[in-house]
Amino acid sequence: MLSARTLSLLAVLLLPAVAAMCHAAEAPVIDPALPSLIGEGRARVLVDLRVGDARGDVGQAIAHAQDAVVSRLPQSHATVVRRYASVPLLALEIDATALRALGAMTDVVVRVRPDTTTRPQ
Amino acid sequence: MRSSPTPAHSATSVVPSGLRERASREGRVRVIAELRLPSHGHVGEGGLSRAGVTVQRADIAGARRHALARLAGRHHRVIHQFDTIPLVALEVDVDALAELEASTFWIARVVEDKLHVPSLPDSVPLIGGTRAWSRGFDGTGIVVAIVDTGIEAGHPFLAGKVVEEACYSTTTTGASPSTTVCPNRTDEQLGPGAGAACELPGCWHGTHVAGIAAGNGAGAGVGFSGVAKGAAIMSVQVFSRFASATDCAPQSAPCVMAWTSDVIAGLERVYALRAVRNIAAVNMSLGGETFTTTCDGAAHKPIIDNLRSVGIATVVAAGNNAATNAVSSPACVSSAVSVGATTKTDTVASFSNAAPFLSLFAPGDSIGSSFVGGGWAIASGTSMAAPHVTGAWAVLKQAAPSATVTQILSALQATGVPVTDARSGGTVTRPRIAVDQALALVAAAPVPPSLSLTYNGKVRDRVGQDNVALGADGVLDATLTATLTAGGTRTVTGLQLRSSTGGTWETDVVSQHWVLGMAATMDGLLLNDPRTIAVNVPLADGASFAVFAADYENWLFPSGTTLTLTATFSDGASASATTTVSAPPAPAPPPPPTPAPGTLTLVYNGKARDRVGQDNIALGGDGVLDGTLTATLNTGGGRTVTGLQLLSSTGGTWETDLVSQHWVLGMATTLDGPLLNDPRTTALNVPVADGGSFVVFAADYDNWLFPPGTTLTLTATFADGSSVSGVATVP
Repeated sequence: MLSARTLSLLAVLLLPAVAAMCHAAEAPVIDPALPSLIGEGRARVLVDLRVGDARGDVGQAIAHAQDAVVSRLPQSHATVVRRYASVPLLALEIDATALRALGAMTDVVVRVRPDTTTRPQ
Repeated sequence: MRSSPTPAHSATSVVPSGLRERASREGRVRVIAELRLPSHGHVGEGGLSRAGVTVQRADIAGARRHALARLAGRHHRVIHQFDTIPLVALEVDVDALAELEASTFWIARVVEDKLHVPSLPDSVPLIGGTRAWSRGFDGTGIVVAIVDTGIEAGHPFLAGKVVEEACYSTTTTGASPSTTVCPNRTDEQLGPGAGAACELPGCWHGTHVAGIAAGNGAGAGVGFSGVAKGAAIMSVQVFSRFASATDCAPQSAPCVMAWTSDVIAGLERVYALRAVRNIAAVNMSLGGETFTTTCDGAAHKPIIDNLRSVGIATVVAAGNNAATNAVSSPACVSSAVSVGATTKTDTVASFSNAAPFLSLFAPGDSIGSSFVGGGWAIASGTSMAAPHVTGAWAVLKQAAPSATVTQILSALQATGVPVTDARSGGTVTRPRIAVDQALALVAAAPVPPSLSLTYNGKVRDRVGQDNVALGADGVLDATLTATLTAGGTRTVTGLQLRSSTGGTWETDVVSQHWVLGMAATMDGLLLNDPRTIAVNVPLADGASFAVFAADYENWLFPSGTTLTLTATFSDGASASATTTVSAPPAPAPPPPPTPAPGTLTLVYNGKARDRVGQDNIALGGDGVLDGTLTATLNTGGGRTVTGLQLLSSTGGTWETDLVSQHWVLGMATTLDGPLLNDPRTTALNVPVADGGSFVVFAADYDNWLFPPGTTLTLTATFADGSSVSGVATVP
C-alpha cells in the first residue's frame, strides 16, 4: 500500500508531465465584456472550439469537441443553445460558474465571446 | 431598413377627392397617412445624431399614437406602422377617412396605398438585369437563399418560388431575453412553412428583400420583376422577438433581431443543402456593429468560408450607419460579399456604409418590392442593395455554373460602374454592379482545356536522341496522338512528356531534356522551331496532333510504361493526359490468298514476229524475231490486264512496267494486231473476256534467248490486284 508520502512524491514527479499535456494549448480567450454581461444571471455565448488537425472526419472532430465541452460544464450552470456540424463552434447560455469552467478548458476551448445580435438593414 | 411606403405625389388637400370617392364607392380603402411631427419635418436618420434619432422616433411614435386615438370608434385597421418614418398604413372606411382629414394637427396628408412609383422597373434595368434576361439568363434553375425575417411565400410576386424553408429562432431567458418566432414555437423548424414571415413590426423585411432578388411580376400582374426573376428561393428565418426596450433601442419594443448563433445555424442549413439545391448565393440583409477593417475574427467567418469553398456567395448588406470608412458585421468578413447602397443616379446613398474593403455597390434607395399582406412597398437601405447583387449572382451562375465566388465577384468588380463616395468624408470608389457586362465576361470564360492521349507504338523515326535533334536517328520514336478539348482555339506553347521509367522529353531546350517533336499528323512537318525546338501552335477545339519522343537504344518504352503528356497554353492554362504503353500488337495474319482468278494457258509460238526491240521502251522491230506466245485466260469472267511479266529459265525478264528496267513486253490481240501497250510507258490496261486470248512478244537478244527447253512463265496482273500465271516450254 502506498503511503501518503509516496503519493505526494509521485504527484510532484508527475505534475510537470501532466501539466505539459494539459497546457500544451494556450488558455482560452475570454471576451472581457462577458463577466459584466453575465453578472449574476446568464448570457448567450459562442464558444470557439479547438478541433486540432482534423484531416479525417471534420464533423466527427467537431462533435467530439462539443461533447467534451458540454460534458465538463457544471450541470445547471449552462444550456446548449446550438450545435453546429461544419464549423467548430458551440452556442451556450451560461452563468459565471460555467464561464470559469470554459476558461479552464484549454484543450478544447479557444475563445468565448458574447452571442451578439444583428438587425435588418 | 430605412423607410417604407412613400407617397409619390403631393396633394393640395389632406385627402385627395378621388380617394374619398373611392371610399364611398367601395366602403373601405387602404391608405397611407403621413404624420405631422410636432417639432420639425422628418429628417433622414443618416443626418441625425444617435440622440436625434431617438428623439425623432419618439416624435413619430407620439404622432402615430395621437392620430390613431382620433380613429377610436371608427372602423379602421392598422396595416403597418413604421418606426423611422412618419407614416402609418391603414384600412379605413368613409367615416375614418373623414376623421383623418379632420385631424390636420397630426395628419399632413393621406394617399392611397398603392405602388405609385414601382422602382424595380428602374433599378433592375439600371444594373443591366433586363439586358441579361434578353440574353436568356434570368436565374432559372438557380436557388437564392434569403436569410431574413421569413418570406410570405403566397405573395403573387413570389408565388411558387419558395422551394426550401427553415427557421432558427430562440427563446432565451438570460441577458437580452428573446422568444422564438418559428411557427412551431420551438428553436428550430425545417420544411414547408418554416420560413414564413414572422408577425411583428419589421417582419415585412424578408418578403421585400426576396422580391428584389427573385420576384416575378408575371404572376403578380405587374410589369416589373426582381433581378433573377426565374430563380427559386430558400427562405431561412433567423430572427427572434425581443421585448426589452433597452435591447430594441432605438427601435420601439417589441422588435426583431437575430442572434449570431441563429444566423450561423441558418447559414449552416444552406451549406447542408449544397448538394440538394443549386444555390448560388445567400442574401443577408442584416448587420450589427461596424468595423473600419475586415473582421475575420467574426464568428460568421468559418461558415462563410465553407459556403464560399463550395461556390456559394454570402452577400451581406454593408449597413446603414452612413459611415464612409466602415461596414457592419458580418459584411466586414473578408470572404463575404459586402454591398453598399447607391441611388438611381449612381451616387452613394446618404445612409449607406462604405469602406475601402467594400465589395460592391448596388441600388438601395427607394426600391419598390413585395410587402407582407400581398402588397407592395418602397423601402431604402443596404438591405435593398444586397438582394440586387444576390439576384445578379443567380443570373451569372446560370450562365457560368462552374464559376467560383472569386470569379463572379471579379467579373462584377471589373465590369461595374465606378461610383465615388462624394459624401462628406467619403473617399472610396467602388463598382456599382452591371450584371449584363459581367455576364459577357463570365459567359465568355474559357472552358478549361483538357487532353486525351493515345500511344501509337514505335512507328516513326522523326527525332533524334539529343535534345535538339529534330531529325531521324535510326531508332523509331515513341509516337503518340493527343486530342485537345478546350471550347475554342488554344495555342500550345509547350509540351512535356514524362515516362514512368524516368525519362522526360519536352519542347524547352533550356531544360536539357530530350527533344519532343510535334506535328499535325504522323507524317506532317515537325512544328517545332528548328533552332529552339519551341512550339507555338494554335489548335482548334477537338484538334489532334502527334508527338514524337526519341528512344535511346530502343528500350525506353517497354510495355506497361505510363506516359503523361502536359501541354501548356499561351494563356497560362495547362492540361495533362496519361496513357500506357501496350504490348506490341501481334503480327497481322497474312492476308487470305487472293482467289485464283482462273487459269492462264500459255503456248509458245516460236520466233514468229518482230514487234518489239531489245531496249525496255522499244515498242518496235529491231531486226530480230521476238519470242512469241499466245495466252488464253479462263477466269470465270472478264478481267482487265494491267501488267504482264515473262520470266525465262535462262534468266531474262520482260515486263510492261517501265520502272523495273526489265525489257519491254509487247501485247496484242492477234499476231499482227496493233500493240496494246501505252506508247510512252509500255503499260497495259486491256480488258480480256473470259476465254479470250492475246499474244505477247518478247524481244530476243542476238537471237539466242529462246533455246529449246527454255521454260517461260507469263504472269498477268489484273486491275483487282489478283494475278495468274501460265507456263510454256520452248520446243
